[in-house]
Amino acid sequence: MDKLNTIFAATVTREILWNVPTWARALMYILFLAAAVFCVLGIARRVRSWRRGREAGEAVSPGKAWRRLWRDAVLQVRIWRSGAAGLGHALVFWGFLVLFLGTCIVAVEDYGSWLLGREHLFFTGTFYLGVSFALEVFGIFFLLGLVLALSRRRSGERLRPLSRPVDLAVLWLFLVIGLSGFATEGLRIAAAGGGLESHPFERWSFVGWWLATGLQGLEVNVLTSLHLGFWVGHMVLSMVFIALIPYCKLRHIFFAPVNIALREDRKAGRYLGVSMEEVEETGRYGAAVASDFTRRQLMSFDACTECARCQTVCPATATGKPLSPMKVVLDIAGSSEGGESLHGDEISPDVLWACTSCGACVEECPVYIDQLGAIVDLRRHLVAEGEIRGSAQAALRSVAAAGNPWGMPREDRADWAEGLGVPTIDEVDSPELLFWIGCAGSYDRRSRKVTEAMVRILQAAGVRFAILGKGECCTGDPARRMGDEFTYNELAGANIESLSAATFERVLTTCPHCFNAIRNEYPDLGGNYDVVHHSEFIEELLASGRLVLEDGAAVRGTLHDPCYLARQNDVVEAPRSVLRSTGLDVVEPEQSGKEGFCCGAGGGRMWMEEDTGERINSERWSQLQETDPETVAVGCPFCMTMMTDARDAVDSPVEVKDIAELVAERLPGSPA
Amino acid sequence: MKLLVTLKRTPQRDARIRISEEGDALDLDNVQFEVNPFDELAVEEALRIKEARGEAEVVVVSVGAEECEQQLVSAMAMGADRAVRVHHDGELDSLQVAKALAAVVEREEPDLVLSGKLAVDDECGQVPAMLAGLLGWPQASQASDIELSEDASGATVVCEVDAGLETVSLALPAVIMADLRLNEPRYASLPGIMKAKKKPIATLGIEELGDLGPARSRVTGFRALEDKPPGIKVGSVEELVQALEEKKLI
Ligand SMILES: Cc1cc2nc3c(=O)[nH]c(=O)nc-3n(C[C@H](O)[C@H](O)[C@H](O)COP(=O)(O)OP(=O)(O)OC[C@H]3O[C@@H](n4cnc5c(N)ncnc54)[C@H](O)[C@@H]3O)c2cc1C
Ligand code: SF4
Ligand code: SF4
Repeated sequence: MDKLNTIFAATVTREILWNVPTWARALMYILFLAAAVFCVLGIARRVRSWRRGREAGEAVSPGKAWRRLWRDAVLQVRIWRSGAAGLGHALVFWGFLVLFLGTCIVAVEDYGSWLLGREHLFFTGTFYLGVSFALEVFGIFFLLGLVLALSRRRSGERLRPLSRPVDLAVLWLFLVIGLSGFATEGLRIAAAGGGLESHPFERWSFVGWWLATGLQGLEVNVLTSLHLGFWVGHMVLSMVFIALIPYCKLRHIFFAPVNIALREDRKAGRYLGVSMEEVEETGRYGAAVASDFTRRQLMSFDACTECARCQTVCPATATGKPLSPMKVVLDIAGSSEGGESLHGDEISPDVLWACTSCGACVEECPVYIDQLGAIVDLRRHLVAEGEIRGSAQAALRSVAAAGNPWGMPREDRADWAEGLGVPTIDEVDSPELLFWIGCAGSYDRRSRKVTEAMVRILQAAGVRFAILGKGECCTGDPARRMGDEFTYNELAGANIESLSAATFERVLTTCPHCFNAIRNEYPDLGGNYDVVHHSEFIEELLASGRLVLEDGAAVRGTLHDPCYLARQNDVVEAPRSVLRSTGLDVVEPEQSGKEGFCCGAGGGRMWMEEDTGERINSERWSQLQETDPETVAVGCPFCMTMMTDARDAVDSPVEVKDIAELVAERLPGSPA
Repeated sequence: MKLLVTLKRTPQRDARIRISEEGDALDLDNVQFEVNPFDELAVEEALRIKEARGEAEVVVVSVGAEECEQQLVSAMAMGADRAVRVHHDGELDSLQVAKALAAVVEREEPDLVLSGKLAVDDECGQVPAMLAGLLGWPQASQASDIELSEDASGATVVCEVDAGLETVSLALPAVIMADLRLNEPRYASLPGIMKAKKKPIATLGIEELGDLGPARSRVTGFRALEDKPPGIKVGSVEELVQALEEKKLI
């Protein structure tokens, strides 16, 4: 039996580099050397360009890095979200990975046996058959994935605005490499050792076998010449591919896994801070040139696959603004080897100020690039240069001087509370809630109604709460999004001081921007609080029975998800469940939850003119109208303003109401 | 070329100003200050002229106590090269300020003086015109566009007048007053302010500048405007006419 096995193993294999004459082998080694040098130099150049960046941020533990690689590089989990494109990529990736491993096995077998002076190492018998079979299967995956990708481009299903001829060429290159590989195999099986009968076990290479049976009528010398031709072609194209990797979007083959593994843990709503001391020391604030970014940011930009997913979901791009988050990433990557200024015609102030900081790009990117973080760093440079003008500048001055973006007097901040029986924090001993009102909730006429509705809800549920009153000021969110880190630090510092001087269990806020800043960003400045959005808190009150609502007629409605709540803080279910308990029949628009479309007000856009392209709020309003709602529910004062304006622009009778207002209408004894 | 910008420290534009109980002074505790908005337009214009010509020195000058150095720093954070503060802690009338500024102009010998059309605190709007008069220089007020000739020997200025726009040509040196639509000033950000702190501020004693003469006007008291009665919203022209007739306004 053992003997039989040995014979089986010895015969069940193939001659590596069969029918490849010395000149062709020499060509292979020369080309490989050239391609490898090209490739390594290209990579080294990129890595050197990262090293010019700043060092910042926390390191990632090896365990975490491997887990991330497994999930998003090997299993391609994040890529699956995009349907056919995701399937196509996963097939190409897995096919490529296994074909690459197969080539490595063959190389190790060949050089290993030569070095050890043995005829074979391990590429025989069952192992040989298993590997052959796997290579066929994954070779088919590879080709299928490519055909899928090419047909999507052919049919123009989603031809990305920036899809270039070179992208198509890369797919064709892969296709030809894959097909020529199978052809070479078929020709070898047909011609080697006197034909098919001499190696029946090659049936395991079922594609090659099938091709070989079709080729049987041809003369052996024709087959061998054809084989050599295809082998040379396959080899040369493969070398071209290797040499190309670092010089086009294929570089993501190396850099995407690196970024997936080593990226910094940072939510889209939590910016990397800059301290006054740092600026004083380095004289640097924001990104003027590529080396002003951190090393990890520069590394991440090289991971870009140019898939344009970010640009497809960007509300600014979608409404005809000059901003494309992908282009920003590529422009920075393109200048990271030189030292030239990033700012100019390509990355202009209009491009940078168009961003709503909605975070859709960050959420969408398959390789975890933080486009928004890059845009904010670039904005910081504009602010340092004074390049923020008009109404946006006025808002910045006002938050700094008056503690609110409209420049309303500080002492009027709690005027809304007059006569409502709302205590300030010094009047209540350790309340359950500190109700954070926010600037809009304090001063904006429409949003004050939401604040008042929330007060009625809290009073009906018997919640002990208090407000900071005149001691509250802007959280600094608008300043931070606009790139004014110093004004942000001052405002946040003042608020942290007020909050830390008070005793309470949790902070409640009806504004997702305040929510995000206090919850995600204040901890970086030493302020740690348990923060809830009113939709979450009302859900709790309803669940615990502290709040009971009256039944009423069902109303058809929809919810516009605030970016800073749903996408950036994963609060998706709470507002829906609360709305359902008010009798609102929530019909989901096409883009909702974490994939929601921005209202257009974030990132300081609330205080800027929108004079290019379509208006983002009108675009969102039209999307919502497809659900045919009687009521559009919102959960953010910015969304409230934007949706109300969009509604008024088309004279629509649809109501725009905050979640709190819809709940307050169903309080026992409320006039409905 | 040298550009000199006059600059006044005024209460922050959103600030709510109260009058002291005696009615003889303004209650400016808890009020923040900033560069007079029209002077900020003048600084911006000077910086734009400098940027367009590639070469120019921008000097900002303020008459006041130490606190007004904050505003001089703000102007330098925007990009002005250096500052001069004429030290004086107390009341001065417009002509005294104009005389002090004229003395500084004589020392600095700028090619152009840029001012705001008025300061938003007292809204007198007299200093720049008096300055031009004292110097014997031509002046253009309420400027919404300024164009310098190639050799900087003259300027063409579009002035906003009640009836519309008036375009005037004048020879330099001259005094030009900035109006609201002249430009959109840049932001004096904190990193800019940090850099500006390293730029020089020269201080002159007001007594070094010669005799300013006696004050010819002084503030005798302040009085707040009475609250406007609340308005009403009318639905049509007929209703408006009726309402006006009822109030015997027509
Ligand atoms: C620092 C400063 C600089 C200024 N510079 C200039 C300048 O360069 N050029 C210039 O022309 N002006 C200037 N002004 C004046 C100012 O621009 C005018 O007061 C302003 O144009 C009045 O417009 P308003 O809409 O604010 O009117 P308001 O002050 O609100 O109202 C003025 C009057 O208009 C009537 N009115 C307004 N709205 C309605 C309504 N909805 N229904 C019925 N009646 C109504 C009322 O009779 C009211 O009393 C300046 C003012 C200041 C404080
Ligand atoms: S954050 Fe939103 S608006 Fe800004 S680039 Fe990304 S997708 Fe576009
Ligand atoms: S930044 Fe991310 S989402 Fe945008 S094109 Fe590059 S890889 Fe795709």
